[in-house]
Amino acid sequence: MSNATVNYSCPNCGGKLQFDPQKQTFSCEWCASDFTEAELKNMAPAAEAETQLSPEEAAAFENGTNLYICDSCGAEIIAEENTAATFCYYCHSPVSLKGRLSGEYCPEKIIPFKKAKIEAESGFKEWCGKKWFLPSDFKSQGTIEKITGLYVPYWLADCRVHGSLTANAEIIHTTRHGDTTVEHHKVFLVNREVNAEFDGVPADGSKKLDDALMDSVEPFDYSEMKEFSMSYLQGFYADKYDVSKEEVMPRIQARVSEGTKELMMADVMGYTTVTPVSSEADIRNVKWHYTMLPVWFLSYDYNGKKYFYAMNGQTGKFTGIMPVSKLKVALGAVITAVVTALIGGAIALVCL
Amino acid sequence: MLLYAYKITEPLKKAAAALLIVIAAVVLLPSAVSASAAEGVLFDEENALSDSEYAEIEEYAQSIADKTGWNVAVEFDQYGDFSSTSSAQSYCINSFESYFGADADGVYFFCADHYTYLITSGAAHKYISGPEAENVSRRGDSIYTSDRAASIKLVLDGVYSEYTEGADANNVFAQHPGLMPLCIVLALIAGGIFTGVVVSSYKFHSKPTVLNYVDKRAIRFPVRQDIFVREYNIRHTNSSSGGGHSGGGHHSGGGHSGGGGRR
Repeated sequence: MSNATVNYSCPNCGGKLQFDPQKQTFSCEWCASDFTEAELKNMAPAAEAETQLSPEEAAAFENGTNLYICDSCGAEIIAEENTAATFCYYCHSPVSLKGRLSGEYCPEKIIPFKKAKIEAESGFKEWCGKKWFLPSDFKSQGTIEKITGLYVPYWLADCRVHGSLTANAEIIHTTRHGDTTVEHHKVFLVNREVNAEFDGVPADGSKKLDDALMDSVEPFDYSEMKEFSMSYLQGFYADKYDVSKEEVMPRIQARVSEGTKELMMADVMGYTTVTPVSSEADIRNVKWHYTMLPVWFLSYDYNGKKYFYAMNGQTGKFTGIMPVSKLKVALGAVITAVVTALIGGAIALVCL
Repeated sequence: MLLYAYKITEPLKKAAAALLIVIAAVVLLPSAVSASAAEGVLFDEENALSDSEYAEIEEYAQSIADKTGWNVAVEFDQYGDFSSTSSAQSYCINSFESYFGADADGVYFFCADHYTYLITSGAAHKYISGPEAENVSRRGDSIYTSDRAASIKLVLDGVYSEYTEGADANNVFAQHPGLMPLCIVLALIAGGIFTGVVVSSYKFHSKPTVLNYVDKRAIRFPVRQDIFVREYNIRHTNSSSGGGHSGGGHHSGGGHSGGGGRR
């Protein structure tokens, strides 16, 4: 058991501080005091220092300790292996687990949440609002309240790429003489080579999150990236990565190769048709950055299957796969079928 | 559907019930309206029937009227002008129109002095005319030589028989055998397309472009080659196509027809 947690307390009343996305400050839920990051560091330099583990604590972490003590109520907190920030199940105080994000697991940067939970909830309602075939309780308040703010571990790759493309291209124009139409074809062999630089190509470093879902939450605005501090995790969940940069490399390579091909195809202009024959991308000088990016997340069980909704915690872009009520779809299909049969039959009768 | 435990909410139940009511109203209302307007009447100026026979025939005539939606009248009359077929026809038409109206759907069976006459009007005329009218009239040949009530019932049964045969023949699907399969195919296609569109539209995954992460200032194209290979032409000759439309026939319906006299 370990009490290797770090807390940020309000200097005015001792209440727990949480990061407020709307104000972009650290707020006390008891006395409503707000503090900037700089003020927090000035007031509580020790808290930051406590993110470093003692030798005993480091040994405990190496042994895979998953049991912690809540500083607020003394309850035992059982954390999953990759959890870096969570809430006490009893008093709901935010808890950041120091050591989970230390050493190689310490992120370089973080983009703090900019969209508050209330905005995630209203975005979800708006996203569902016009969908008639959702199960009725998908839009219920009970479901909406399960929306969770999560800092997702991401690998960002900077790289240089040299690409080459060979394609067949044709210019086609048509002339007409009386009843005769003539298609004039000019065939070209097109070669392109490109040197380009990609900065911050993202790939999520979590096994439990769907890669396609996390890809579709992009893009993030990296200009708002800040130096990592445990204080930003207060009030949210966070995981450390469990997919290494070597394991995400194939995804990055595939995306960069596709992007390089798109660049070269976009440069082939003035043709009626362009058909790629071969393309290659040589990726070099890859530099990795481990960051935490904000995502509002909701999972929903329906008929034994899990459905996920995600909202970019910085830009508000939402995405997901929604469940479909089979009963409602069947009813709609029957009505459509009957109406179509009636209209089609009437038209057929008129024509017959 | 019954095999699965769906959570059917109250609003959905109400919506399904409302839909069923609307469908039932659309299907049943026309027949209800038409059935309630039809009359079955009996006129016995000759005192040819006893009181019990009169009540029985009148009730039978009303039942035929209810089933077919046509007005049904039977008259025993000795006071009209029946000196010729045309005068009898005029008398019967006037009687029908004066009682039911000129545009009414109906059957009028007239008996006078060993003479019978059948006229049909409106929708009934489409079912009973020509040979069908002859068949119905012939059923009343023994009306003055045997049980009159039974003979009248035979005639009314003939009217109903022609109605049911005509309903089957006039059924739009019987007239156009290919219509039902066409409607079924259209319904299946529409239902399938609807289901596919709904299910696919609920899979919301936009794939972002990785070009968001390209440093546009650092893009260089060291090689740009567009090499002309060859040139060729394809010729198409448009052939003119003939065509035309043939006109269709026009048939008018309605009117009265006489069933002929019987002695």
